[in-house]
Amino acid sequence: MNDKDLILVVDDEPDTVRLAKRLLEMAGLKVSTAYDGEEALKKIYDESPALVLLDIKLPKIDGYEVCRKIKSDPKYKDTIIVMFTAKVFEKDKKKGAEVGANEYITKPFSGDELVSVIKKLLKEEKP
Amino acid sequence: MKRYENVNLPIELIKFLNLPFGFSLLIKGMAGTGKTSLALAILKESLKNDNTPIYISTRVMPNLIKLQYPWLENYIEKIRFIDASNVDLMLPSQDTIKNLKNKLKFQNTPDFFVKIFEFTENIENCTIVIDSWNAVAEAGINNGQFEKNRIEPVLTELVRQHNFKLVFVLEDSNENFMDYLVDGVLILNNSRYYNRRIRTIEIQKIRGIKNIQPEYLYTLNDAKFRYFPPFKFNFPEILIRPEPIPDPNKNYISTGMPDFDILTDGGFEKGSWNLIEIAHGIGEASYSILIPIMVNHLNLERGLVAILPEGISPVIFNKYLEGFVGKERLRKLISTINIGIEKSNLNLTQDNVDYTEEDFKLIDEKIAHYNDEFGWPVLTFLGLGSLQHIYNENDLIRTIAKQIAKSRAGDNITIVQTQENQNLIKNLCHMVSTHWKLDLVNKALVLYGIRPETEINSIVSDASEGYINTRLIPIV
Repeated sequence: MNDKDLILVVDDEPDTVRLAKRLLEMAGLKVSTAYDGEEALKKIYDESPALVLLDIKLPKIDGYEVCRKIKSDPKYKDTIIVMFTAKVFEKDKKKGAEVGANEYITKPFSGDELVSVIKKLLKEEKP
Repeated sequence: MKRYENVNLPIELIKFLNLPFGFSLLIKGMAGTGKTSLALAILKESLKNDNTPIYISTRVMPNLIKLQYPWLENYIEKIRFIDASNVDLMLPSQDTIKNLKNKLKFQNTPDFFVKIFEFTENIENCTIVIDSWNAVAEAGINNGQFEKNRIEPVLTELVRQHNFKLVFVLEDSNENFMDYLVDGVLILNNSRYYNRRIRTIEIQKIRGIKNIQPEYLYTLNDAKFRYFPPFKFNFPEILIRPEPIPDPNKNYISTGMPDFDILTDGGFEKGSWNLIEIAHGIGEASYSILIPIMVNHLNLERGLVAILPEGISPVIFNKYLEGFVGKERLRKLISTINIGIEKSNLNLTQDNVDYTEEDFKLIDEKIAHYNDEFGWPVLTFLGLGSLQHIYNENDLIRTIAKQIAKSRAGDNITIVQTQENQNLIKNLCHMVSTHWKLDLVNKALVLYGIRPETEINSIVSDASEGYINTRLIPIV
């Protein structure tokens, strides 16, 4: 069972994590954070966030692998994954879709865009 | 903001100071180069490694240090000051600073080291600054010859056997026998760059550490030693709208950077043309100045017409600005023209016919539109690089001269950006209200005024808050 309001922000860049956390909290969401793929998986298993904002290029385990593991686990497969990356090539988007990512945001993006995408996805998910 | 004000040291020096064994380091430089500032910054750094910082002074009165280096206030109690002046008058008054009671008297240079060894025998790890070495060395002159052979073994034993971290301050920048004895040599230089002061720290030698860059720019602003690493422009990954900075007064608009507002003596004057000349190799680093100017203007709900320099796509330009100003402001307030892409908008020079003036009328129409819709002032950003390849140079100068004359009557402001050494600059620099140069000194990005003439300022740009926060730190 997911925590319906909890967002996990995963990025190895502390400033990005801090900003995303601040923006999402200002939008009334609960936020947890992780700085590498291994920590992200642990937090997903421990805290069951509703949505994971996931950078692709991560230390230890990359974002694709984190996404693949979550989406192939029956217990966590409904977790919404938003890939969060500087890469804009089609092949990266394709790879994201293959591992089951729900949405893709290309960096840089505005804080408003981030909040609106996440709120929209959470709303769609809620019964 | 506070993070920029901190004292900082070159990365090679930090690594050197963190070596797990003893070392000897020589700081050389002429008077006024900041040797004591650097030595004190090294002592402050040594506190991070649980070292006991000891400052042995032969020339700087310890009780004056607190006054001269106010940033040291929180650390001064942790530094042990020793008066080695051999002059009783230099004893500080009892009520000023603690730990000043120590007085080191020595007969000659080897004796000086023996006294240091005795003084520190109960201290496990210590970093000792000897400021200055000149006075100690003078005591080592015997019959006109320096007792080098007697000093070398003592020094080696202190550093290698007892893990002492010794920092010698030398009031001279010439080659010295100590250069060969010590593990590291830093030379502080105070020189001129286009008749403006620059300070550089030269890492002449640093054993056991990879020297990334042989020389760095530094400043002594606020009596703090602060070096500038190679400039790197960081664009935030999540873009946030910064709070706009209001106009400093009714005749000027803010540059979007409080430090630049001070340097310009109040921002950009209404009705002015302002030239920003960009040195070769700066590339996207120029955004650290240009983006805050435009973003602040748009966030004050004012119109902006941008004639983009070559190589910048309006789509990318708008996408970048959008996150800082919001979609709606961008849609309402900005008109971008990339002459290379949007040739159909303008006539351009063809068959030796001068369309320059006519084309500028199209730009004027866009400016007038924003004036009508959103009032004054409208900011025009003119990337001259794109224009000078398209129009005849003389036609362009003549048209710009007319534009400048017209602008003076109104409140609109123009920023002209061009690469350095362009032919146009020598004509243009006499017409514009202000002329600024963005340049690189030892890979640090700097800005200085040619008109008005200002000191050199190092640019520090931070993206950690989601927008481009640019600070100017004067090189003093």
